[in-house]
Amino acid sequence: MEFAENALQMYTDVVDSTIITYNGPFDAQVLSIIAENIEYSLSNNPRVSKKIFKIFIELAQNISYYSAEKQVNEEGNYFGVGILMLREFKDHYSFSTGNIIESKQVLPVLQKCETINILDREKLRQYKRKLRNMPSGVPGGGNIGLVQVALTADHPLEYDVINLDSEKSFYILNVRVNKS
Amino acid sequence: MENIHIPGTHGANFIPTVDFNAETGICTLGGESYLEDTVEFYAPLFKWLKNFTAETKKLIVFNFKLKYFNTSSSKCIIDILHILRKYQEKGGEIEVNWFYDSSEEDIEDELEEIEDFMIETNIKINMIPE
Amino acid sequence: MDYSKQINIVDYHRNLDQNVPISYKGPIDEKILQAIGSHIESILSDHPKAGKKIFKIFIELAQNISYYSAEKSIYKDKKEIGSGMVLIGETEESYSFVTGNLVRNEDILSIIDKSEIINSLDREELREYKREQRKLPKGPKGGAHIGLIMVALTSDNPLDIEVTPIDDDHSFFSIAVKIDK
Repeated sequence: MEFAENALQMYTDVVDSTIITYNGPFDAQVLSIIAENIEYSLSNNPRVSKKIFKIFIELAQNISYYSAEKQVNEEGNYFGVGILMLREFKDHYSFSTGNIIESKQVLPVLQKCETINILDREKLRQYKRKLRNMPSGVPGGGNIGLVQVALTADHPLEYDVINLDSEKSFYILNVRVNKS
Repeated sequence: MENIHIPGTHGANFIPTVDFNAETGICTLGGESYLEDTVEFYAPLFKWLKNFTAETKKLIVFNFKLKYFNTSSSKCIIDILHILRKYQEKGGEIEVNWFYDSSEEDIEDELEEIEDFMIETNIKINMIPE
Repeated sequence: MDYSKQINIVDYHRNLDQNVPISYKGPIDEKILQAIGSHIESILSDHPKAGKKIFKIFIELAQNISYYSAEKSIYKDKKEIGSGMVLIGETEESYSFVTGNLVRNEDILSIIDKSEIINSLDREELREYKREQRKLPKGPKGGAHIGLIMVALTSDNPLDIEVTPIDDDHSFFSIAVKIDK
């Protein structure tokens, strides 16, 4: 059995910097507890704590709704499955998420990230207002979460898509918040 | 003596259902037992049983109806059985019943554990399938 | 870009022969245990026997982390909370339940000793060992010293223990338990 060894690998890969990682179903109960643990873990820096909390809520909700991998609970409700990770570095914190998306979503997802990254703050706010005023249910509309995340973060979005097979890809998003 | 009644709950911890009745001499511990501080919860139950066994001459029937208990709780079950054994040693009459769900799949583990309780405390426990 | 380490995590999940339906690393308190515990129950609902066993093992091992982990980074309501990881892996024939946490080096020998004793005993001897240990005075919070023994009895497989030095004072201790479906 090599499982304990793998666990060590996983742990030591992240032990220096990681505050919290979670992989599993993103349901409201788990999310609220992790949110609370994040708040406590960052309580010595209220500015960061508030920003990370906002980012966490948006990105976690995205996974909960949009992940192509679903898990059903005992009550028969479906939740998106994904990974989240909060890490501390010398001068910033980094919040990352990962989840499976359908291949046909890859292009729209990349486009959205690119659009957000080329906009300056004012343009980003305009874009947010535009999205907010689109009727919900229109493709590309409604979801202003990512725009809000970019507005909250102190750096551009870092993102990547890894092809898993012909139908599925893995979408990674990383957001940085400066310590001061 | 005041009776003890604690309704069980299944939350962040599992609090067992407790019914200790001094008039009838029937005591029941049921539900699930998994507590943040096991000793804190069980200490008043031990105290009640010690007081009761010191003053009564009745037959004490102790019914375990636990569906789940963790290892910390198992230690407290042993402590309860020790109190009952002492009562028996000084001439008191006891009857200890363990109710279990015979439809459960991994019932062997539980039966083994009850057998171990008997070996550890020298008390006869009647196994009653439900 | 700065997320190379995260990609390692992704690779980790993909490279394993097994699926990892749930894993968590961070502060471990009663609430997160309950939340993860309830997911474990639903993830395992197709295999009730394995599910019940894993749930029992989960409670004992996770409680060990929350009480005894040497990594206590956060304080909540003035209470120290142990930090560690829990993970469930699945293959066709079995589930693996893994926990890992930092322990103080001064505590490590007794854990290794105990694990080795447990792995050297057959089922009957293990029960005898359990009865013997249960006679000892209670540990902190009413611990019965028999958590690992019960884990071994419940899983019916040897404990897979790994200990790796991290620094002068600490080692990483992980334990993987296999439960046949």
